[in-house]
Amino acid sequence: MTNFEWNDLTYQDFPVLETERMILRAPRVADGPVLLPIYSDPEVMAYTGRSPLERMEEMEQWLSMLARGYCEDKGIRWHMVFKENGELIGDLGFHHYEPAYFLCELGYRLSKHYWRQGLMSEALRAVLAHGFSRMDFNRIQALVDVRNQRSAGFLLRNGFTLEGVLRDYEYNHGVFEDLIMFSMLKREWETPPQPASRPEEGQPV
Amino acid sequence: MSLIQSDKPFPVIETERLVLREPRTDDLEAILALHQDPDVMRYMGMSPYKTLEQAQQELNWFAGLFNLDRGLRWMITLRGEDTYVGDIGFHNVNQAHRRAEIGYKLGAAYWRKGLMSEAIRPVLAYGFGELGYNRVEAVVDPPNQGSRGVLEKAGFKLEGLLREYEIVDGEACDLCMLSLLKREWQEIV
Repeated sequence: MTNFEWNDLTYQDFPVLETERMILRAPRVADGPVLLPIYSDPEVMAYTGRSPLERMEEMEQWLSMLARGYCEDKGIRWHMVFKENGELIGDLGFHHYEPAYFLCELGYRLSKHYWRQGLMSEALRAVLAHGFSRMDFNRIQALVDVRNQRSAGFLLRNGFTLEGVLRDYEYNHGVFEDLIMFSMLKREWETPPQPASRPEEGQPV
Repeated sequence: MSLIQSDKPFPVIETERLVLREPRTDDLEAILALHQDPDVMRYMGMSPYKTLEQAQQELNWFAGLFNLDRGLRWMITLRGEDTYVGDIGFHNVNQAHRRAEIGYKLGAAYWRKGLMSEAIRPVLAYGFGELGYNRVEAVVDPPNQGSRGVLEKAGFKLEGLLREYEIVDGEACDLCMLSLLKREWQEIV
C-alpha cells in the first residue's frame, strides 16, 4: 500500500494541549527518527499486538497512517513533548471511532526511560478532557492484553472500569490473545465516583 | 429473484424443521412485517420500521454481506413453506483475528419452540468450519432473556457488560458481551 502523502501542514488545525510538564502536539515529519527507538523497544511494544518496529520505513508508514486517520476523521494521536526542552517521549490518542455511538478507543506508548513518573497519567487527563468535552465522546474504551498488568493498573488508577475479558479477541504472531475491556463514560469523567468511605468502627455496614 | 451475485453458491442449510436460504427480492414484504413488530424489535437497537424502503435497506444489507464477502445472513424459513420468518448470520467479521459477530431475529409467532436453537447450531458449525472463525461473539441487551437463553444453550459464555456501548434513539444502552470459542464448540458437538 502506498503511503498517504502528508507534511506538517496536514495538522494545521490540530488541537494542541498543554499540561504541567508537557505539550501534546501534532505529529511532525521530523518526529520519525526520534520515535523509532521507542517503537522498536521490545518492552514498550510488548502486549500491544504489534512487533517492535525495525526500520525507519515502518515508522514512516505508522506516521502516514496517523495523518490519514486524522484527515479522514477516524483518529487522532498527540505527540508528548517536554515543555522544557521539546524532547519527544511518547504518544497517545483515540482511534476506532464509532460516531453513531459516540465511542472510541484509547491507545498510548511512552519511552521506557520515563515510566513511573506520572507522565502518561498527566497526558491522559488532558486528552480525556478533550475527548469528552470537545470531541463529544460518551464512552472511551481501551483494550489491554491480560498479561499487561502495567497498562491495566494505569487505566484503573485513572478511573477506568474493567468490564470483562474478551477471550481470544486478537490473533497476533500465531497466538490468540485475551484482551481486557476497560471503559470510562462521560458522566464518570464529569463526576468521578468518590472513593468508598470506610465504615466507622462499631457501625453497621 | 435471488439477490446473490457471487461465483460461490449460497450455502443453504436444512434442519429438521427449517430451511436457511439466500435473501430474495420477494422476501421484502415479509421482512417489513417482521421489522414492524415492536416485540421483535424491542432489543434490536432499532425502532420498528415504518417504510418499505427501510426493509429494502435491510434486504440489501443481507445480500451485500455475502456478495461483498463481509459475512453471511441466512433467511430462516419453515420447511415446506419458503416464507421469510426471520434471519440469522455473521457480520462485523475480522479476518485477521478470525472472529465474527452473530445476530438473529425471529417472528414473534415462532418464539418458544426451539427454532432459533435449531438454526444456530448448523450456523455455528458453518462459521467455525467453512468460514474458519475462532471466536463468535454476540452483544445482547441485558433484559433480552429470550436471546440470552438461545446463546447460553448454544454454549456461549458471558464476558462482561459493555456500558453505554450503543446509542439508540438518543439513549445510551448497556450491552452484554458473550462469546463462544471454536475449541469450546468442538467439545459440545
